[in-house]
Amino acid sequence: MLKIIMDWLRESFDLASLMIFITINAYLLFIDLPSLERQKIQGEAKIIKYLGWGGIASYLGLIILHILG
Amino acid sequence: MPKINDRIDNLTLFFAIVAIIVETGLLVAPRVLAEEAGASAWLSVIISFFPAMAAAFLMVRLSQLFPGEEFTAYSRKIIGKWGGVALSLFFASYWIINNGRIVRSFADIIKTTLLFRTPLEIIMLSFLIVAAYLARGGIKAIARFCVIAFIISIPIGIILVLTTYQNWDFSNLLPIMEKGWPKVILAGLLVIGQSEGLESILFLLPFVKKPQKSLSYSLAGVVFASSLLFLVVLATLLNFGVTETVRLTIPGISLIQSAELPGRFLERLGSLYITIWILIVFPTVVAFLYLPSIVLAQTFKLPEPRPFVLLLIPLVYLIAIIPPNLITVFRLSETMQWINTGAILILPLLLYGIARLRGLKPGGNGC
Repeated sequence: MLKIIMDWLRESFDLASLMIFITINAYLLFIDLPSLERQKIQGEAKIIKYLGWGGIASYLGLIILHILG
Repeated sequence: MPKINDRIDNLTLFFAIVAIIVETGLLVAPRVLAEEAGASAWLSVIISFFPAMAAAFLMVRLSQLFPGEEFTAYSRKIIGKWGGVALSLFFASYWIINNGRIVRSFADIIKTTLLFRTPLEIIMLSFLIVAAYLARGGIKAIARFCVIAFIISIPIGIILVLTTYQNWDFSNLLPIMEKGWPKVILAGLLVIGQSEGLESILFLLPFVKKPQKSLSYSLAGVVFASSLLFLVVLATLLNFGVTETVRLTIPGISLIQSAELPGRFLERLGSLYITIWILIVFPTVVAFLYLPSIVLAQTFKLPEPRPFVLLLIPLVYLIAIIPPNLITVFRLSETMQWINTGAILILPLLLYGIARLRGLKPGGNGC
C-alpha cells in the first residue's frame, strides 16, 4: 500500500515541481516566519515552522525517491 | 471581524462575484447542457436564473443575520461548534478540489490552443504561483484585480460572441422540449453546479463596507454571470446546432474561433480571446486559493491567513495533476457539479432555515 502511494506521489510530482515547492517552503520559513515572530503571532509561527520544515523534509524524501529510481 | 482596511464597496462586490463565477465552465457548459437538454439547453439557463438568485438572496440574508461576522463564526452559532468547523472544512476542501480542476482544465485549454509545446506542469505551476502572489495581497487586491479583469475581458468576450451572428441559424433551437421538462430542469440544476464561486458571497460579505445594501449588488452579479452563460450557450447552439455542440470538446473555444469581425480586418480572434480569457479564469483561481486560506485560518483561530496560501499550492497542484487527460477532467467536473449544486443551493437554505428556527433575527444576535 505504502509503495503504491509513494509511486503515485513520485509520478505526480516531478523534480522541477519539487524544487519549486521547496523554494516556496523556504520562503515561508525565512520570510514569512520572521515577520510573524516580529508581530508576536507565536501560535501561528509555531504551526508554520512545523509545516514548513515538514514540507521540506517530505519533498526532499520524494527527491531521494526520484534519484533512487 | 475583518480589519477596517480590508473592506470593499458594494460595486466591487458585484465585479468580484461575476469574475469569480465566470471560469472555465463557461466554455464547456454548452456541451454539458446540450447533452442533457438538447436544443432547449438555453431554456435550462433561464430556468437556472431563479434558483441561483434565490441562493444569492439566502446567502445575503444569512450574512445579514450576523452583520460583520465571518461565516466560520456564525456557522458555529447556528449548528454548533463542531458542525461549524466541519462545514468550514467542507468549504475549504471544496474550493481546493474545484481549484485543482479549474487549474487543470485551464492548463489543458491553454496547451491545446496557445502553448502547444509547453509542459502542463509549467503552465499550472506558473499560474498557481502568480495567483498565490495576488491572493497574499488580501481581499482588496483581489477585488481590484476582479474589476480590472471584468472591464478588460468581459466586453471583448461579449463582442466576439456577438460577431458570430452571421452563422446563426434559429432552426437549430428546434425542437423545443424534445427531451421533456424533467431533463430541462435537471440541466438547469447543472447550470447551478457550473456556477461554483456563487457561495463566495457568504465569505465576501463580511468584507463589504455597507453589507445592508449588498443584496441588489449580489443579485445583479449573479444575473450578469448567468446572462453571460446564457449568451454563450445560445450562440453556440445557434452556430453549431445540438449534434455538433455535443461532439465539440470545448464548444466555447470553437465558437470564439468561428468569430469574424466585419470586413475581416482582424483574423485569428480565437488566439486573441484566449489570451484575454486568462484574465477571466485568474480571479477564480486566486479566490479559490484565498478563501480556503481565510477559512482555515479562522477555523484554527489564527490571525494571519497569508502563509496558508503558499501551503495550498502543492495541494491544488496535486489535484490538478492527477487526471491523465482532459476527458477525465470533464468527468471530475461532472461529479463536482452535483456537489457544487448542493453547496450553493442546499447548504445556505439549511443554515438560514435553522437560524430562523432558532430565533436568530437580523441584527439581533449580539453583534
